[in-house]
Amino acid sequence: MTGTRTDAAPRIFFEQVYGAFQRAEHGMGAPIQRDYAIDGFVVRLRFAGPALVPLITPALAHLEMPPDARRAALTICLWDSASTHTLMPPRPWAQDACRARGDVRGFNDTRSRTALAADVGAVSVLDLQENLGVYWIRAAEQLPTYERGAPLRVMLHWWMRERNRFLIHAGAVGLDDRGVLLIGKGGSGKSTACVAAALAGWQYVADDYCLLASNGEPYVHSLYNSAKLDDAALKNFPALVSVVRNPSERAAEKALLDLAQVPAAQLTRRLPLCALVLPRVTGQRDTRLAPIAPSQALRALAPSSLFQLPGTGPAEFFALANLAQQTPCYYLEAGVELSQIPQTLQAELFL
Amino acid sequence: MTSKFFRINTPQIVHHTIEQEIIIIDFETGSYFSLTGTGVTVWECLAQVASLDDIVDALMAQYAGDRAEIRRDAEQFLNELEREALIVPAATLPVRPSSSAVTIAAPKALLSFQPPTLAKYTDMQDLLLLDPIHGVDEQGWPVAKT
Repeated sequence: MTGTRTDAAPRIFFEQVYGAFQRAEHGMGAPIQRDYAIDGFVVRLRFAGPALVPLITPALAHLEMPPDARRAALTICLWDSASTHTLMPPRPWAQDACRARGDVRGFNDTRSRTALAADVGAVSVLDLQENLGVYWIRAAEQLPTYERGAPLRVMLHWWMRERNRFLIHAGAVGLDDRGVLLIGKGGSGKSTACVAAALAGWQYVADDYCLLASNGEPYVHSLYNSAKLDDAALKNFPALVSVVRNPSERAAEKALLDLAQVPAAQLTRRLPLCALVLPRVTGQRDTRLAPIAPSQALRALAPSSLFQLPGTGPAEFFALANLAQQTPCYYLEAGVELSQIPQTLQAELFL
Repeated sequence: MTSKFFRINTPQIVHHTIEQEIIIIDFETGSYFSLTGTGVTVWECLAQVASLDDIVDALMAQYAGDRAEIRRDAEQFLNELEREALIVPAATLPVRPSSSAVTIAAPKALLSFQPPTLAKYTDMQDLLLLDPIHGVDEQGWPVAKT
């Protein structure tokens, strides 16, 4: 841990980490692989042993596909030291090299990406030339609920942005294959609005994170089938208590909901967007929709998307700016009668 | 300040104009900003690398007001932009066809000058705060909080 940086340092570290994964995988017996279809790409997860499988895969289950004999577009290798008894190579950078968003100074270049999630104690490395990533955590059980609900965000963000697909902080629901993007920072009511819509039979893409792309028109693609609600919000949906994945962690964390277990929820992979909606809780009874300026929508959408992930930059910002400029934007002044949320959206945007 | 040239502090700063408002993102600090009115004129000058004189000329071409007052307000505004690290002194001077003019659209009629203001938002800064690490193991890896 001398902190010595060379131009080859990112590549050297990647090879060390991948080598450790291979030793871990070999030591755990038969390889465990799962394939997922994400917006036309096959993303393969390769696990060294079973410990991380039940923690990582449930949120992605709606995208799982039968094993594909073709080479995956992206392969992500996952392992933990505790269950595999395989040590992570020593940290090769000085402790202060880790930046605020987790990217490591001197270990990110045109080919390599390296990030440390210090709160989780997890490392992500990605070789963009080989389309190969490795995710390591000290012990699988240390993976917090918010990571289990939205796993591998950093890795998917890095790889997808090279293909003009941007991981954004937003929810998305829709009707008749037309989608509404729910935007705003944490606590603004995105998840509550998305869950209310899902229970009303709307198409559900996301409550917190999804991929934004364009094929001439903007669209979003689903990544996770989960939703997170705090205690106050969950009380509005008593029927969802049975699909909470983390009942034993509720004292410290939001409820993680498995929407794949909710019959009314139509999990949907992809929706073109027809509106951006910024919820705000009014405390009034009724819900209404009010137009807002695109600049206001951009201020609500861009910062929380850009500042959560390492390596975001102008590409993401301009994609969001274009989206705000070309898509009608609204406040969703959400009242306490949550059933009015999908009703109002439907009446104002879909009729 | 008179002959000093400034440029926008890219790549730390990105900006976009959307319906007469400029949204500015600072990737280092997690702050974001908004400019309207005369602030947009100032920023459009800075996007071309500009001096205080350039900016005052541009404001006088779009707004009615006392030149000395406009100059004072513009200088204060540049100081604020520099304090926020949104602009930095330009290492190289701009190459322009005319001696010092930036290209700014002229309105049909002069507008009433209002001092430029910078709206700053810091509500997202906590996303950039490093979690305190409880310690590291012998390999240098953080020990996750329990």
